This record gives sequence, structure tokens and C-alpha cells, in this order.
Amino acid sequence: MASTTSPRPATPGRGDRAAAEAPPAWELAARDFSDWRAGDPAGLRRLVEALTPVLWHTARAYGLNREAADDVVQATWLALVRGADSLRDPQAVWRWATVTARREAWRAARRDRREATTDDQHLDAAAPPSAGPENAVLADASAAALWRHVAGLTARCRRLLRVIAFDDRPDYASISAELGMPVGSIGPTRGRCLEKLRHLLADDPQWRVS
Amino acid sequence: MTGTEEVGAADAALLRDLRRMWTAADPAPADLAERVMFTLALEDLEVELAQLQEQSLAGARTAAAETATSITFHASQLTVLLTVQAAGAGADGTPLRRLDGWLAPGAALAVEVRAGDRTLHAEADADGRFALDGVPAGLVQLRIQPGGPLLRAVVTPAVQV
Repeated sequence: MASTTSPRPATPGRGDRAAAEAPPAWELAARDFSDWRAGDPAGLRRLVEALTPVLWHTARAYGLNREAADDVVQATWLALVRGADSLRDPQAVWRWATVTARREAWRAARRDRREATTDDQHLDAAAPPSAGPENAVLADASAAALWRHVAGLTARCRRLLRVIAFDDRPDYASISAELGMPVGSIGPTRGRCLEKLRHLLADDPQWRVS
Repeated sequence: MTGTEEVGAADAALLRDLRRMWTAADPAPADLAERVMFTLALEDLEVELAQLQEQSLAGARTAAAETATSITFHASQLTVLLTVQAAGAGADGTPLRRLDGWLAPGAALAVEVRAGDRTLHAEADADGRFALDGVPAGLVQLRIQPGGPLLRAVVTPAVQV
């Protein structure tokens, strides 16, 4: 599948490869995976460093607390390295990892939900450690406004947007199963969620279009 | 149907803003990738990875990678409780830890502790209790060897002690 999506920002910490015209992250992942399989251990390190934050945000999108998200990331890597021999197409490594993390996160979230009393508790887990726009990391008024309005979206919108924000080529078939919506409605739902967010932001003087 | 769709420029820009916001507000623990690499360095990956159930320090595993004092790991056939105490320093000044562990259900199993580039060994007694002195502070991972009712080795995620 050719990538004609807009260039995504290079993953931080990738040094000289973080140029404006950097290849998409999934393609870098494919190269790192190939390097590793060809005997270069540094390839695995690069892959882990680049993809771990993506897997983290994927797991957190499902409302897992930080420790459960940590476990999902570790389990995903263990499964990937164990199954590396059967992953013949390096181009598929990004999708394989993100789909695995989503499936693990979804399972863990369902397990937790049976134990937790309300779904709300669960969704609150996705709030930052010290919630609120005064949070130092969101000192930027614009980011704080964004945070506030994302919190006003439905849980389904928040989840979908967080998954897509970190993975611009998500596998809709698996998202469909996990979010309980038909494959054909994911694109329109994403569009509606973004539209709703844009609408909320437009009414907020703290938000400046970047 | 390809399963993916192209994203318009305005949507892509807003998604980039969201990505930045979540990256700032809820980042992955700073040492997560390092702990993953530590786990992947296991020679034998045909193991069960235990899940971290409870860690006594609030904020442990956060960006600051704080030191744990009491940790519970859970695997399908086994629960591992671990307490960590400061135990002086080595000749080179490395802080040392004493680990007291308890495997439940109790079983006399061999326990390996990987700490940095060293591997230490302990034997749990019939009640599942084991202790290790002189473990260098830093990333530590336990491996409980199969035996008796335990069919597959259990490894814990790497934790800072």
C-alpha cells in the first residue's frame, strides 16, 4: 500500500533522520526491523525506542491505568520478538505491533471493567496525573484548551482520536471490532469527532490555530 | 475497501496537535523503552511475562523512575511478592539492596535475579520464601524457573529497585 498521507512528524530522538522529509514512521520501523533481522542489534533498539511511545498511547487510549499500559507495551514487545520469524514482511511490523497492543489493551480494559464499578472511573484513568489546565506540562494556553475540549468529547471519540493521532495508518478492521462500530463508520465517526472538536475550539479564545 | 483512509490537511493538523498534547500530558514512562530492552535481552523468550500488580510507591514507574519498596507480580499460576530494602553499598559505591520474596502458592523453586549485567541465584523454600542480599540497585528482573506445578518459567517485568 503506497503511503500518500501527509508527512508525519519524525519520531523524536531519531537524530539526523528527523529531517522535514523524513519517511513515515512505519517505514522507519520496517527498516529498523530489517536491520535487526539481518543481525544488527541496534535495529531492535531503534525500533523499541521509536515505537514504544506509540504503543503506550495506544494502550492508554483504552483507558488503562499507567501500570496496565506498561504491561501491555511489554507484552507486545515480547510477542513481537517471539514471533519475529513468522513476520516475513518488514513493512508489516508497525501494523503488527499496533494491532497487537490494541488487542491486548482492549482485553485488559474489558478485564478491568468487570472489576471496576463504573466505566467512568475507568475513563478517568486516561486523565493526566495532575489533571486540569494548570498542569505545568500544559502551561501553553492553547494545549490546555485542547485538553479541556478533548475531555468534553465522548469516550468513543477520545479513544478513536488518540489511537489515530499516534497511528496514521490504523487497521480499521481491528478498531471496528474493539470499538463496536462497523468498519465503514470509522472514517465518518473520526470526521465527526474532529469536527466537534474543531467547533468547540473555534468558540474558545484561548485556542489559536497552529 | 482498503481499511484505511486518507486524512485531509486540516484533520491532519488537528491530529498533530492532539499528538503533541497527549505526548506532553501523559508521556510514556521515561525508562519504559529501557525496561523493554532489558526484558528482550532474555535469552529464552518462551516464558510467561508476569504482570505488575501493585507497587507501593505512588508515582513509581513515572518519568522519574522511582525506586520501589514493595511490589506484587501476577502470573497465571503464580503470584510473586517482593520487598526491597537498602543494604549498604558495594566496594565500588553502588548502592545495594536486599530482596525478600514470596512465591504463592508456596513452592521450592529456583529464582534467578538479573540485575544489570549480573545474574544472582536463590532457592525458594517449601513455603515459597527466598531472600537475596547484595543486589545492585537499578533495573532488576526476576525469573522463576519451572518445576513442580509450574510448567513454564515466569519472568517479571524489569523494575527499578
